[in-house]
Amino acid sequence: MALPPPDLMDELIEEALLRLPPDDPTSLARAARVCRLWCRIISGPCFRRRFRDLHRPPLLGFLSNNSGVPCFVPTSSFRPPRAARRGLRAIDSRHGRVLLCEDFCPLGAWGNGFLVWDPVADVYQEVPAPPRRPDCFMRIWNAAVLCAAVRGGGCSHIDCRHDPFLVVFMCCSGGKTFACVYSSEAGVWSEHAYDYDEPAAHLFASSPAVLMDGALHVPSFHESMTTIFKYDLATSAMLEIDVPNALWPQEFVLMTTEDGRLGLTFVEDSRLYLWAREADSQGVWGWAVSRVVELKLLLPVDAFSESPDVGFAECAGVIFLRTVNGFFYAIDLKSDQARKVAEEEGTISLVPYESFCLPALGASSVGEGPKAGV
Amino acid sequence: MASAGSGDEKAAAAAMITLISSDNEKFEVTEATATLSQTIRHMIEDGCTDGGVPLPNVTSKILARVIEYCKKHATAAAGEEGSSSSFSDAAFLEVDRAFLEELEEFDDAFLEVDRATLFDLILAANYLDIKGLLNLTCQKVADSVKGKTPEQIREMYNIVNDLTPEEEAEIRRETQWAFE
Repeated sequence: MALPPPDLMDELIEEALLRLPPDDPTSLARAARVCRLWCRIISGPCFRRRFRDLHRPPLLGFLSNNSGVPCFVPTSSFRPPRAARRGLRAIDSRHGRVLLCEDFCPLGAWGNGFLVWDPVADVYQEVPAPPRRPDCFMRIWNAAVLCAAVRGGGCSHIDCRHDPFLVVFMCCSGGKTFACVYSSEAGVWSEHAYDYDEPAAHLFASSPAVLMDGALHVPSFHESMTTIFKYDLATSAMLEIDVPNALWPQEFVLMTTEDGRLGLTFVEDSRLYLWAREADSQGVWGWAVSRVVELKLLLPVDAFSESPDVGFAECAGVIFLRTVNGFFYAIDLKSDQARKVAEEEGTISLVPYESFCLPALGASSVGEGPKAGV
Repeated sequence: MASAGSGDEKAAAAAMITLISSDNEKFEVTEATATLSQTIRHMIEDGCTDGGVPLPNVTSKILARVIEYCKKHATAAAGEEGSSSSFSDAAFLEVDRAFLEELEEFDDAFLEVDRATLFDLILAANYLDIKGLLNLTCQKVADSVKGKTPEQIREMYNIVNDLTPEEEAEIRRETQWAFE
């Protein structure tokens, strides 16, 4: 004989439901439809706050750029309500949002502006094109989307999909590097901030930027050398960080280490190399190999290629590899386990998507909007 | 307790606590076992355990299971402390790993209970404030809900659906992707 649930106090049902895995939002959504009590618990601000405290934002999937269709490849039970619009390319993703631009545009893809997509809420927001310089083409660029509180602080970025956002546009043009920032609150782009000290422009790689210590980091090519371009969001200062091992900008992806340092990863001779910034005894920062993962032990023999596509999911600590046979593998750096996540032919690049996905029970719940408990 | 007992036996006897279930059954447990419960730990600290600790919310059947859990986990905690001084690091790690595996097996076997017992264990773990047991039992409920349809969950837990068809349709609409 099973006891009916009223014999478990509400807070104990909550205790149990809190332990549903965050990368299985389907289970949460289904549990919300069991009865009124369960719906009220799951849509309540207390539950939402505790759920986010108990778990990390899960990796829900990645955007695979595939000839004009950014295809959402799930690594969880989440499925976007609608597929991403056609003719677009995913550039970056952070804080629950995806930055998209047109896949082909004569002015260099950014010319008709950007779209900021929240796949969980299925909301698109348009961002106008950054201010154009009349004298140049502005073809080499990179862009990033992030929560606006990066500049002011006060946000843990655990679940800030609904808060104001920034789009940062970094570009090289006319021999100069510049950046400008769009604020969703103000609805306008800032003035260009120029890197006047540098004699030559940065040629940005197209891999997603990494956000660390309030600055965006992008692999770039500058004066015949590969460097990491660092743009400080608070001061607009532009700096350079050297790169180890004579790498080309497209050969590696930037990442953050578990203890919050800048890292990078690349594949060579079927090994995954992880490097991290380290200070020596004199306090001088340099690079050091932090780990080498033997891919032969993790992946099938026929899966190797000379330069596989690599992607990194910040929160989940997962590295994506696209192997020669077209499969995607997710390598979990904590457990050293690889699992096959998808097979996507013709993929050009990929952008991991991490976010909490708690069912947004607005009208059907007890009046808790999606911002409840933030 | 026999008066002829040695000093050690007296010390051991002094560290025993009597727990009294709702149906008046008495259980003698060591302090180390009993203090896995924060509720009982506070009572011991306040000196309120003379003459036994009445637990009016816990039946003897459930209390026996809770004590079984606490004994095993108290031994595990003591084992970890004790072994660190008497083994080399490598040997200690080996023992540690074997211990954790054994504990995991124990937990798995411990959860092989019917739903009524599981719910009673959750209530007892909550009342006695035993974090490990509450986590273990609540995780079991979460695992049983994972991947099930609302209908299957209702049937499993005898839950009456009190949502109106309109409300249910609204939730379904708002979480459409979960039901495709």
